[in-house]
Amino acid sequence: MQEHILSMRGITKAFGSTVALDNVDLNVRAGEIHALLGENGAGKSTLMKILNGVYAADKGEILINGVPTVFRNIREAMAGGISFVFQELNLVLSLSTLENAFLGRLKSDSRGIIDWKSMTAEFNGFMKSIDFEMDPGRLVSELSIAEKQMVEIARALMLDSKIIVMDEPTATLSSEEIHKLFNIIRILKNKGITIIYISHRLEEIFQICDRLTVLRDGKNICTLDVAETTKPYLIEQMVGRSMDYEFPEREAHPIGEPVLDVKNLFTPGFLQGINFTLYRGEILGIAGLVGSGRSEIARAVFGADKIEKGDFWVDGKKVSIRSTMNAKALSIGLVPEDRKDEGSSIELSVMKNITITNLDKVSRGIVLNRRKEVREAKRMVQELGVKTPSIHHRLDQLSGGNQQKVVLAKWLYNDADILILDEPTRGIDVGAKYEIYLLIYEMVKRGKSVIMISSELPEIFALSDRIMVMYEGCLQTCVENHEGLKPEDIMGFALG
Amino acid sequence: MKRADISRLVKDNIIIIALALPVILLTMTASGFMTVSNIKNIFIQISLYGIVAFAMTISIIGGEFDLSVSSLLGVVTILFTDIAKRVNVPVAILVCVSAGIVVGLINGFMVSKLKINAFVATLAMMLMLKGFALTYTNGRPINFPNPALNAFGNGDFLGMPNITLFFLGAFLITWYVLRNTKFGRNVYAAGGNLVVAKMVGINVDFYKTMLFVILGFATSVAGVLMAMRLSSGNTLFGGDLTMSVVAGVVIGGTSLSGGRGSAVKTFWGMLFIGVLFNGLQRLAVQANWQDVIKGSILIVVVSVDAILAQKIPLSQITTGRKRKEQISALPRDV
Ligand SMILES: Nc1ncnc2c1ncn2[C@@H]1O[C@H](COP(=O)(O)OP(=O)(O)OP(=O)(O)O)[C@@H](O)[C@H]1O
Ligand SMILES: [Mg+2]
Repeated sequence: MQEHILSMRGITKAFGSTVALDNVDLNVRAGEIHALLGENGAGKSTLMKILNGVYAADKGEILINGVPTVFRNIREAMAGGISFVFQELNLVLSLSTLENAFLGRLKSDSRGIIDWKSMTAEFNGFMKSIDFEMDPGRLVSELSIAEKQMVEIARALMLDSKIIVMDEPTATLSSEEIHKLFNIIRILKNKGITIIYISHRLEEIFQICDRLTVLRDGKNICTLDVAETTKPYLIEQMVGRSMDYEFPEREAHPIGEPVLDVKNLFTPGFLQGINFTLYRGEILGIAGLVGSGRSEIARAVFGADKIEKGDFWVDGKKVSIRSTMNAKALSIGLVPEDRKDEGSSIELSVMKNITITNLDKVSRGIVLNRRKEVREAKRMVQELGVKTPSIHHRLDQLSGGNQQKVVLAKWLYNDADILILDEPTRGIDVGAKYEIYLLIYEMVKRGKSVIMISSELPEIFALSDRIMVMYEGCLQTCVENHEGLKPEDIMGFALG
Repeated sequence: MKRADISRLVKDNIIIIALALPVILLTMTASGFMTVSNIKNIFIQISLYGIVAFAMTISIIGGEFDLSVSSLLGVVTILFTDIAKRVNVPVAILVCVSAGIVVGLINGFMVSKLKINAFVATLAMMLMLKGFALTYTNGRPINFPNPALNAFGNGDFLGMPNITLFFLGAFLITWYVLRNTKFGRNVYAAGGNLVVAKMVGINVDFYKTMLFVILGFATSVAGVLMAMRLSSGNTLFGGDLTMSVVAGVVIGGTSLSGGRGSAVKTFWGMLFIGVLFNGLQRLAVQANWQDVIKGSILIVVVSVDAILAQKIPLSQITTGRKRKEQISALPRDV
């Protein structure tokens, strides 16, 4: 038997009446990349948070190199040679990229004066080594979600730890960045560093991981060598039943008259004259790299960003969309890509997060009908399979994927005629994704129209009626999605 | 009941426990504390400020803050007495309420449209109102002894002081609006996370403005009642309004970071302030010392609350309960 650098044994953890982990073991060998898999709410993040001391386990022990160890907080864990990329980004928006990358360990000289030069040098050196361009002086609040994720990753990787835990590092990245991240992961592996890797993108497991452990409902299901397994088998282990397809079969659905016309859309320093039309009952996919302007289209149409110029027609009438209020009044909805900062309010309960998009539906006049509100929220929670002890729990008590389901739920509940989904299935497990695809089909069959932005090409291919490809703020092409279309065709356009 | 449940119960009702302490102590030490007339007295003492406190609760939940209410109260008492004296009472009331609303609109405009920080905007407004009041009166109080008005301001209805009825009315309206209306829900949303509120198409500028308008309105009502009660208008009236009201709201447990709180909390908070002020007077504590004690108690109550909040396991916190806890503890730990 090979030596285990990390052994978590019999870990049990309950939150109130929710048992998040039930007697879970995790054994990680030195120098391997070990995947931790499981559905949303299976307990992956919780297990890692027990490792780093954010939570204390109710039962169980942790051995590092055979020595029983308990970290009481992240500082101790970092000092003990373990660093973390959290699922929820932990960045201070008002500070610069550099300050965030060195948060908690700013370098200073003997007099306590910050040594910007050496930090900048180290940061730039690191970024260069992963072939990623980033201005250390930019405020994090100005970064795209993918860039924020890269800052978070850089922060953990620059620490020189022996064990690195990555909780869904690729959920917000596009293939380009993922490729770069994998390169650095391989370099780290060659240096003998151990990595625990959490992801819902199973292809990735086969690309970089050596072994894997599957959790389901807080229990150990199995630990396997990646080489000995297959994707369908893994899915079965994760969801507890076999799934023949990842995507529902495409059904023909009627496509009607234009519902949204966008003409000559320019945004300051970004979009360069975008024209497109969305039809009733259509799913329009938008592909492209992160930063190609996909989200900018979504935000402009929803009135969330200022536009330079551009005209919008909704249902054949010229309209002005200057604010999110205008857009909502026109029955346009947007599920934003940034769940934490724009999509959901952790101050509010699951129910209040859902119904806030359309309080009219659950009120008479100005007064809320609380019973109806509870009923509607329960219905949405059930439809999307949100795992939560109750609809009155605060959002930050849900697992990451379940929070994402709530963000989707709030806009599906709103039932807008035009729904824009920006990376809707980010962080959502295979089983739940399938259900969400069915809900999207359901919508368009009822005559709604959907614009779907996704970095996962298979998703775009499986669902879209037409596919638009963006490159550096320009619309490269817009094609019918048919049998013969190949991912390479799309990628060609996306790369310019 | 599990231990966690008990501690949560304690935490949620900390203000009531905090209130019980001085009540028990004062009942034992200060003669005449636990009498009907003194309890009525306490309510009279907090009624006018309480009206403003409920409006302040709404605005703090909505993520804003208003320093100008203290000056506004003085201005309203002056306007009311002067106009009532020179013209008539209905006109005086109309002018005062309009003045309150206009001040609120200006504050709201500065904050929502000009994007001036509420602290700065209302500080400026506070100075301007103070200056206006001093110019208007030359610093002298205006007296207008009108028996009918005075009787109303000091009168009872079914054994309840009239002003306390206004206080209770303000409480019930605030409670209902925050809990049961779309307006209230949107205020929580805007205060909890402004960006998210914008991203669901809430007219956040409107809500921000309304927070100040409500405050202006409530302050003008309190000011008119105060002028009636005291038969005079004075720049100095309301000097400690902001401090007392914010203390009451915070002691009650409404979070200054926005998005959480309730009218019920403020009710208890103001009662606590009332008991405290009353007790200090009864014990004949010197006026200057009273302020020191008030300040210290504010710190103690708020920190006990914060400490208790940290002792509660995260899983025990559901919404409606205060505390901005994050599971992702990195920024906190580093
Ligand atoms: N702070 C908390 N309070 C209450 N329950 C919690 C808390 N954190 C997690 N849970 C619950 O514990 C369970 C496991 O959550 P965890 O975040 O570990 O899931 P996960 O496997 O990381 O899922 P995902 O893939 O969605 O990120 C969930 O049911 C969740 O609701
Ligand atoms: Mg997770």
